[in-house]
Amino acid sequence: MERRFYFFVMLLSLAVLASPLTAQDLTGEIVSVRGMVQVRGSVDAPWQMAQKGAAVNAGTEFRTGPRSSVVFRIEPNQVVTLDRLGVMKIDQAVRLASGQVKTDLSMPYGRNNYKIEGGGVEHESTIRTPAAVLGVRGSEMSTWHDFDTGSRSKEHSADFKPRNKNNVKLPQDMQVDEKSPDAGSVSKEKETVDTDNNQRTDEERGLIVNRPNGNFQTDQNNKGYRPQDDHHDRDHPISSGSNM
Amino acid sequence: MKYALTVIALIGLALPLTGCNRAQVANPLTATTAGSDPASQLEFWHVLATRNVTSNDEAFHGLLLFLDETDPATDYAGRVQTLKDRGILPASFDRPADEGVTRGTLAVALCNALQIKGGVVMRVFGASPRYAVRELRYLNIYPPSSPHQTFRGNEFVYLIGRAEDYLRIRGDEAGEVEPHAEPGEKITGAS
Repeated sequence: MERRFYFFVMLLSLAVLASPLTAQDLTGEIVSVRGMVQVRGSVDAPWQMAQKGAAVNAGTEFRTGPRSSVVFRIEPNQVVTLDRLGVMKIDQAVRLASGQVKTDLSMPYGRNNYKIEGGGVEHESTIRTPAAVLGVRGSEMSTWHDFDTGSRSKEHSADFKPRNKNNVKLPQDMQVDEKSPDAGSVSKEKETVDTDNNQRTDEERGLIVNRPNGNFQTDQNNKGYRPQDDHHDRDHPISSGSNM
Repeated sequence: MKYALTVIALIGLALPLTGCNRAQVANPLTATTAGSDPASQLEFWHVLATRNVTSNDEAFHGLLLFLDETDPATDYAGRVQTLKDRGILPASFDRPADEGVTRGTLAVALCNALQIKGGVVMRVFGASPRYAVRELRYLNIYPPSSPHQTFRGNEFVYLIGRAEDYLRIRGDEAGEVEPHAEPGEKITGAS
């Protein structure tokens, strides 16, 4: 009995040790360079001018100048463009044992476009900015972080999964009017997560998402509720930055 | 009692004077990375983004790099003279190199450099700090600002990016990623 127990523990340990090995690192290459672009393999490495065809992988960092941009591809089909005056780093690019591709990019400032060409592979991609973590599943999305508007994103055809700074998923239709004098409180209100979401009807869910504090409004067209922010422009301000 | 009141009055008089003091930059970035080669330019932009204040010297060096992709001047006086000769800075400009650049000064320079004509007041009287800031705010290049404010380094870098976006929208420049027009905002290439 005791031997069987130790054998089981040993097998379990081997499985735990082997599990990271099943994640395969992904590589890629620089597809095009416009203007002044530098790249380095790690934070300790010196910056070098970027060249078309150069290899990129996890740890690679880019920075661009005015009138400049760099396009790089990460296996198997992710194409990322870093636009003018920005910095971006590939924090992680792996293929998990399940076949899922996991990509983690960080962008302290600047603007990027993330595109997945072709389908058939499940992706879990995140773009980190100083104000938010943007989760992307889908085909194309632009993200930018400026100093007065904070982090924003515009999806072209992506399934957008907003998350807060702590990487907690937020309601899909979170939307904050930054010009509103109470943008902070609205943001807090909108970030409320309804834990009983699965047990509600669609209409109830709409009420909770748009008015989680219970102060529902009824409109004149008898729709039952009036969402505070229409959500058809597919534009997602994630957070308000400080005014300059 | 009289002595205490005198001291309080003196402190009260001194406080506004300290409030009016402009920010100074002790070690301008132009002392170390003022080159025009691509590596120096990139170092300049991305180190500037980490600094607390942008000085006149750094701002004018950055402005020349943005406009011409090179800075022929070797010092602050040369940069100011180059900008004055091109009609970008007013002839009366005389602020020191290490002083934090004001948003009004830079707004006037940008309006002249990008040929932003503005409204009636600017067209009649020329670009003044007050109206240049308002015009750039209208064009969504500037955030809500006072002409007397200065820029952090990252804000200046961001501003230059926005100026490039303006040129792209106007059709003077090409770019990889579509410049962003915020919902409901008047982003326009016409001035």
